[in-house]
Amino acid sequence: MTTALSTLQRRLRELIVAPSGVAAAIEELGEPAAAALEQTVRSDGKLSAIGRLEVYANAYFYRIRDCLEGDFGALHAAMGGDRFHNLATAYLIAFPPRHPSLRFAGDRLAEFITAHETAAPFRSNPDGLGDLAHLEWAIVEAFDAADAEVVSRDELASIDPALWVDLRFVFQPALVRLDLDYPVHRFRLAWDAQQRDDPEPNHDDALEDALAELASFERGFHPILVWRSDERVSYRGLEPVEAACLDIALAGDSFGTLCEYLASEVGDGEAPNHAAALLARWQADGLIRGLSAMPPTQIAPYP
Amino acid sequence: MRGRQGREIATGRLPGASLSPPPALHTSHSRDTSRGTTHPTPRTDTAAAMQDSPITRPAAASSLGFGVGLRPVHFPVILERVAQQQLRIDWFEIISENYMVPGGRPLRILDEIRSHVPVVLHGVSMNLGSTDPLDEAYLEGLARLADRVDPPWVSDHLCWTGVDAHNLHDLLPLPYTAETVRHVADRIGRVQDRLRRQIAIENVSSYLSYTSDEMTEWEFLTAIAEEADCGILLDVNNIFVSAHNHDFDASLYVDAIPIERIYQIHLAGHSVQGPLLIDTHDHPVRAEVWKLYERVISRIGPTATLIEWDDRIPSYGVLESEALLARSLCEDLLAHGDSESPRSARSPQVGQE
Ligand SMILES: [Fe+2]
Repeated sequence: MTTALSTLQRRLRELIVAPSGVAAAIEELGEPAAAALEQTVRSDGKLSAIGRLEVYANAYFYRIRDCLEGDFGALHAAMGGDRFHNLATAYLIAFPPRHPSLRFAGDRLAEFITAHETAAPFRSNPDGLGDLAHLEWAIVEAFDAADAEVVSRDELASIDPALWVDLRFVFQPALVRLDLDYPVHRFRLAWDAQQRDDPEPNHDDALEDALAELASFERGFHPILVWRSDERVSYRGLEPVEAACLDIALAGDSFGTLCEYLASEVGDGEAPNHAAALLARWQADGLIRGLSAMPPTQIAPYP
Repeated sequence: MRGRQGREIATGRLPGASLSPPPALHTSHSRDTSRGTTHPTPRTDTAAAMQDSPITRPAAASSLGFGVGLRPVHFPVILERVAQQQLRIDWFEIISENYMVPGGRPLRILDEIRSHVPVVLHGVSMNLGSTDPLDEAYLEGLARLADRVDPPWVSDHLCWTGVDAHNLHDLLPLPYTAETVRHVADRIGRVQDRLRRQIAIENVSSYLSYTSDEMTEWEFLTAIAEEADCGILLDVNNIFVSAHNHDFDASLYVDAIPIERIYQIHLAGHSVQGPLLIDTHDHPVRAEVWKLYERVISRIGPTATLIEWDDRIPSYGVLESEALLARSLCEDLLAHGDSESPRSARSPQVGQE
């Protein structure tokens, strides 16, 4: 019933998303494609059918490219405009946008850089561009993740010490744990500083320095935490012990399990103080929504 | 790889765009040829239309007043104005998709603003004209947002935005055929059932037209609104842009739209790009568009009017002054043109300065 309409839409879409533009795509596809377009889209004295469709092809590419630049600002700064442009082109071919909101246009960019066969030119120089994309996407995710009340210091202090060993943490939803190979958060920090104080020339210098540092990173183990608290998204590198403890807690294991792990790492004597310090930090950072005596599967989902 | 040069037509990000009509094929409808091009005598049309049709537009269509698109860059100043009761406009419009998220600051600020003034939901991704199935998850999210905001109405565009689940994030025109009318009207009907409310559809700016067109854009828009029994969000800038791009007479268009269907008006700035006008939403409203707006208001009376500005966004004060200009134009027009000016274009309002 709508065959004519779906044929029309498919024909236009094919040309709009062609990576080198409508005219080049028509040339590549040959005479039948040219004829089909002429039969579909009106040419007039003002502009040809190709020229008119080209407006949409440009809009498609640049609107999404600009959106990606907005979400991956440090990646853009690290790569430079030309390479970022080519990255966006290759990404859109590999993973055409499927979500109705532009908010999700970049949801597979990190995966693309790290794993896609056509992304090899974007995986190095410097190394860690994929990590940077992971970090920046986590920041996007934390920004509008679900809201949740978090526990206060007093609430934590009021818990009966005898209960602690069996308690499990419930974390707030605006929290992302990443394990990166390169400490790219240091570059994003420099970029953030530059964004805050645009006209300050010394921040440009700082970004240049950070860029040089980014190029010199050695591959390693860099656990990162990204979270939102009081409507502000923050991120920081984690010491390996804190990262492991956080992962235990995030997995829904009990505080007792966490303490056992700590004892094995820092010794029985140090473990209680260490655990208390972690707890205080997580509370102060606004990570903890609550504590529960139940396994995580029985805790009600976020509203 | 896409070449870097020569592909620099910037269109606004997430604008409300509009459609293009073909050169007037048949302009057979009885638009008011008696009307002068400037300051036509208003009201008679309205009265006639009201008699002809039992349909009346929602009360908010004539009482909502003047608004601007809510953009995050203006959050701080808007919150300040709201707190000091010095908001000089009457309502805001949001891009629905930007608030169809689980939580965070934008939603919290939306709630706060909504507690003071009405907020209309304006979407860009309903994809009403596509041959893909309607996106149920999208409609679910939109319904949730509508429940939260309780808007005067929900709007989206008369266009297609993607096919085969590939979202082009653009507002593409449809062929103006009887088949498309049936297809789109049926989908609007299903959306309205799903949302349990009427929606308004907006005419988009367009840069191409189809050889298969069987009618003018305004006939197409009207036919769909009537078959689906939905409202129309008349984007006057989009009409101007499309009229230029497709060589038709914008005044024929605005005079032909059934008054009782027009819930809201959009005004925005556009750009010149070679032979075309592009709906960039990055300029003040152009003089010619203000003129066309006056023609619409003279014909249909006070109507909810909104200024869109999505790229190179100016200070809030500049944006607000465009809305205030629309208000004063309407007041002048209705005071001069019609002794029984339907109602003050100014809605009840706090802190007029
Ligand atoms: Fe619009």
